[in-house]
Order: sequence, then structure tokens, then C-alpha cells
Amino acid sequence: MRVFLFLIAFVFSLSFSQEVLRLGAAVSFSGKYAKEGELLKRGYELWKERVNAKGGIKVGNKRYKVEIIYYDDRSDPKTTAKLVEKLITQDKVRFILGPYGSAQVFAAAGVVEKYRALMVQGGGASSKIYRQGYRHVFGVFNIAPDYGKNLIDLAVSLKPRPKTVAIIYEKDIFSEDAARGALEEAKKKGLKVVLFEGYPKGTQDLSSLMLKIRMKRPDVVIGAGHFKDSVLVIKQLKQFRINPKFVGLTVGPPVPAFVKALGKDAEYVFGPVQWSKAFRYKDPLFGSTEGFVKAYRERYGEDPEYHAAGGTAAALALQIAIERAGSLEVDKVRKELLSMKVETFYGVIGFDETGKIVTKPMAVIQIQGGKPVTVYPFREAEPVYPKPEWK
Amino acid sequence: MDLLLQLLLEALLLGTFYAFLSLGFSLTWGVLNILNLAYGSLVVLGSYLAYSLFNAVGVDPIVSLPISFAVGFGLGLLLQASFVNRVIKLEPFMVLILTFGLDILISHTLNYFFKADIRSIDVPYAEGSLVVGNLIVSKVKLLVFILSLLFTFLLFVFLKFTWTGRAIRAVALDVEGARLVGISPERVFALTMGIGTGIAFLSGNLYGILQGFTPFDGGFLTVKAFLVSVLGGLGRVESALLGGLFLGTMEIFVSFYAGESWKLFASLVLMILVLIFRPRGLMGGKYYGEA
Repeated sequence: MRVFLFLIAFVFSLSFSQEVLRLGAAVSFSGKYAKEGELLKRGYELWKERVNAKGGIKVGNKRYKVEIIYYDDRSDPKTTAKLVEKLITQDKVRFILGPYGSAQVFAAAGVVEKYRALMVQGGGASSKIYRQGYRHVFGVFNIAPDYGKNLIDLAVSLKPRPKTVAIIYEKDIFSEDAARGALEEAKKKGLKVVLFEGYPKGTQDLSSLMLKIRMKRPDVVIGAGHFKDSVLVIKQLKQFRINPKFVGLTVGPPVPAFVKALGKDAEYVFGPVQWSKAFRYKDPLFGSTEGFVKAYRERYGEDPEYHAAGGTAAALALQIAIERAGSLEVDKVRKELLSMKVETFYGVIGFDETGKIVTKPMAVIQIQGGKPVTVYPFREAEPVYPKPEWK
Repeated sequence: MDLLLQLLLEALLLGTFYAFLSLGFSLTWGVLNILNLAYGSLVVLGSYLAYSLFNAVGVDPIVSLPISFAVGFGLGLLLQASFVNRVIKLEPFMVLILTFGLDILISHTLNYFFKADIRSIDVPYAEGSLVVGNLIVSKVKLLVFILSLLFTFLLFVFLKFTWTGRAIRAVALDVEGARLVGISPERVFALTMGIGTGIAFLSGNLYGILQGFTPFDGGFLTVKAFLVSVLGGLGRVESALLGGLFLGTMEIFVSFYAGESWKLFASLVLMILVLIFRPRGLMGGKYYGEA
């Protein structure tokens, strides 16, 4: 069977005069991350179609048509690692487009590094990925501390300027990272941190923390946790009648389920996002952020959000690096990735020596009228501040 | 001063719930002389029952309280007849293994059907809070407090003043003596297991109203029930109340002053201290028999 398939592939490759560049991606199409995985794939596909419509990737004097081999990692990091190994060793793919999810990215990164392939990913935000000393892994998602940092940046830009902040966080790697980002930025911007305290994973009653917040009356409350924590924080803030001027949560607000779970209480809560369609940048492939949004809408019939945009951006960064290198050698492409600083629909893409993006801002959304709208740094709407009291 | 009052209030509300939660555990311990390690999981089972009734059929979680008790009672009888009775005469170790296995079975079955997501029963009428001076009380905690107190009182009356209650206490005190005066210990055992599991389900129902829950909350609920029973001693309903309040107070103060993460640590240290210095609990009666 395999020989047969190989023959077909061989005959096909002969029938095309143009050369083909094969990329590989192990993405979740089933399991917990099936939805995000599908969005990521859409991002990759949109990029591929656009590139091929323009004649393919230009490497030196040749143009390569792009093909992407997809495998389903079933949302399981171990499977991701196996599939990425298969992509590199059996399918002979040298350039990997990343999977979705920090754990999956982390698993894939080890394999990519082992075989000296190259991966650009828009699916994992944990800073752990970049602390391994890997040289062949690049990511276009801002890392966790930026989640907290951007919330504080927005808060201090508002009038009247807040003076005090309380930061509470769930004790897991991502949330603690995000909370520290907020803590450091708050200190730097001269906010007084009246509370900085974590709670164990899975805690379902934050009463003692709420009592403390109630006593300290901070202007700003930052909650770093996962979706369920975000819902809990809002419920209990309301229950304890705590009315800060600014409530920001690292994870939760942009997801439709957040408004569904909280109804009116979700109003005016702030949350950071990796990317939003309100960004205004020029782009080498789509013309501009607007061009990307339009292309996506035409292709899929809905507006893009950051999962799909991350996919397109990762692939785009790889494309630019390959074209600048004029070569398909991993080392040369890597060098171009390291030195790149290019404006795209996604923001300015540039990496530090560990491979993480350092030139792109995050955006902050606020729930207004039951929908997340971007209020920072690009304004779809004016931020509502100070937040009205609970009803 | 306000702060102290506020914390004491929280401790009272939480402690009373813990006391009621532990009653089923300490009752079966005291009367059947078994440690039911599946107790916490039975509580969680009660939470999921109330959750399902609320979400699938629209039964208000207050209305579902009698249903919870009835289902728990039935399940208790069933457990007693089909499992516990078979191993209770063997060494006590067997009961531990049996209930430990049951605990794993229940939590994983729940996980299979409901997934590990945190669920909660959201009753709109209990969302707000009452403010008295500088004190603030969440309505849902107040509700659970009142119900816990009510059920605890009912159990107290039942054990103290009804014939059946006296029979239970008699069996707890002396099985052979009870048999001599015409009480059937087997029936009392079954009844006690039924009431114990019923209480587990009732408190599970309340737990579901109080906060979010997952299939794996059972373990630490069992620990709480155990703590309260050990703290108060297995003597009377009042001793569970004392144990519950003691645990609640400690949890509230520790989590406020030291941080949420130290709560469990402090509870366990406390339990060790009590076991060393007052092995029969703070009030120290012997089983439910002694009045």
C-alpha cells in the first residue's frame, strides 16, 4: 500500500513542472483542542492558498509551490511528538508549522531540536518553551508575563489614573507568570501593590482573598487564572460588593462562554488577547491587517480571531525568512528569523535569541454590550472607565 | 474589630456546614464501627444528583433536598446489603479496602459521565449578599448555614427522642445488649448506613449550592469529615458541631492570615496534635450511645 502511494506521489510530482516545498503540521483535530486546532489549520491554509496564488515561495531564482501535510495529534502531547518525528524522518519535512497548545508545542519542540529541523509556531504561550535553550523553535505568541503587563499598561493610561492594585493568581505556571508580569509592570509604573497572593489550583471559594481585597479597596483588580477562575472571581467580587475601577482577567473575557456564564456581570471586564482584527498594520502578503481580515472572511465566512491569525503569522514569518535566505537550508533560514524585524498584519514580527517574539504588542479587549471590543492599543471603542458598580 | 467579627462569622457559617457534612461519616463510624473512605465521593455524588436534577429537569436545588436524602438513603441500604454486610464481620481492613475501591469507582464513573470540568449549581436568588454595618454575608452561605443547622437539629431530635434513634444508640453502645432487649442489630446497621449515606447526599446537595465541584473533590471531603469526627470525638451530635466549628475557624483564619495554600496543611497538623494529646477528641464521648 505504502509503495503504491509513493508511486502515485512520484507520478504526481513528475506531472507538475513546478517544484514543491512540503511543510508539516501535527495539529489537534479531535479531542480537547479540536476547535482551536481547526482554527489554526484555517490560518495555515489561508496563507498557503494566498502564497500559491501568487506563484509560490521564491527561493533564489526558483519558485516553490507549498504543500502542507497535516496529522491529527488528538490533543495529546505524546502523540504530537510522535507525529512530528514522523513528519521529519518519514515525510522528510524540514520546516514544521507548530501545533496548538503550550504542552503540544513543548513536546514538538524537543523533537524538532533533536533532528535540527525548524519550527515556527503560533499555538503556545508558555515561557517554558523558550527556557530550554532550543535553537530551532520560534513562536509568534507573546509569552505569559505580557498578559499581565498589558493590562497594567492599559490601566495606567486611563484617567483618573489608578493608584493601587491587587493581583491574585492561580498557582500554575502560566498564571503565576502572568501575575508576575503584572506585578513588575505595576511597580515600574508606580502603582502601589496592595495585595499579591496566589491560591491553589482548583480552589472554588476565594472568600478570604475577597475579604482582603474588600479591606484594601484597590483601584485595579487583576486576576490571573483559567476560565473557571475568571468566572469565579467576577461572581465573588460581586457577591462581596467590591467595586474596583478596573477589573482585568488574563484568560476568559475574549471567549464567548465568558459572557454566556456571567451575563450582565461580564460587562466592562478587561482581558488581553494575542491579536485582534482592530490591529492596523501593513502586510507583505495581504496588504494590511484589513486585507487579511477580508481574505479570511471571504474564505471562511466569519471574522478571524487570534488562533487563526497566529497560524497565518507563523507561516508568514517562515516564508519571509526562507525568501530572504534564498535557501532551504535550516541554518540559513534560522539566521534570517533571528535578524528579522518585519511589519505584518499581525504586528511587527521579530524574535530574540531564544526564539520568542518580542516586537509585537498584545491587545486588550473590554466586554461592551455582551461582546469583546478592542480598546488597547488600537481603539475599536473607548474603554469604559471607571467601571460602574455591580447591579 | 470588624475584621475579627467578619472572620468569626465566616467561620461559624463554614463550620456548621462541616459539622453537618461529617455527621453521616461519624454516625456510621460510631454505630457500625467502619471508616467509610468513600464518604466524600458519596457527597460529591449528591452534588451531581442535584446538579443533574437542576439542569436536566429544572428542579430547584432546595426542592431537591428531600430527593437527595431519599436517593442517598436507598443507596445506603443497597450498599449495606450488597457489600458492607459481607465484609463487616471480617477484619476491619477489608472494609477500608472495600470503601477505598468504592471511592475510586464513584469518582471515575462521575468523571466518565461529567468530565473533569468544574460544575456549579447557579441559583439566581442566592447570588447576592447582605450587608450589616461593616459585615458582609453572602446569601448562599447563610442559606446553607440555616439548612445545615436545621438538619443537624433534626438528627439530634431523632437520635435522642425517637424509639428508632434510641435503638441506634443502644446498638452503638453494646450490640449484644441491644440484641437481648429485642433490637435487631442488622436492621439498625442497615438503617444507619441508609441515614449516613442520606446525610452524605444532603450535604452534597448543599455543597453544590455553596461552591463549584469536580468528580475528584471526594478525597478532601473525606479528610474533612474525618478531621471533624476526630476533633469533636465520636460522642454526640454536639461534638460534631464543636469539631466542625473548630475546623471552620481554623481554616478561615489560616487562609486569611497565612494564605489559602496552608489550609490543608494546618488541618492535618491540628489533627495529629489532637490525636496525640486528646485521642478521644475534644469532647471525648464514646460513640453515639453515651448521652
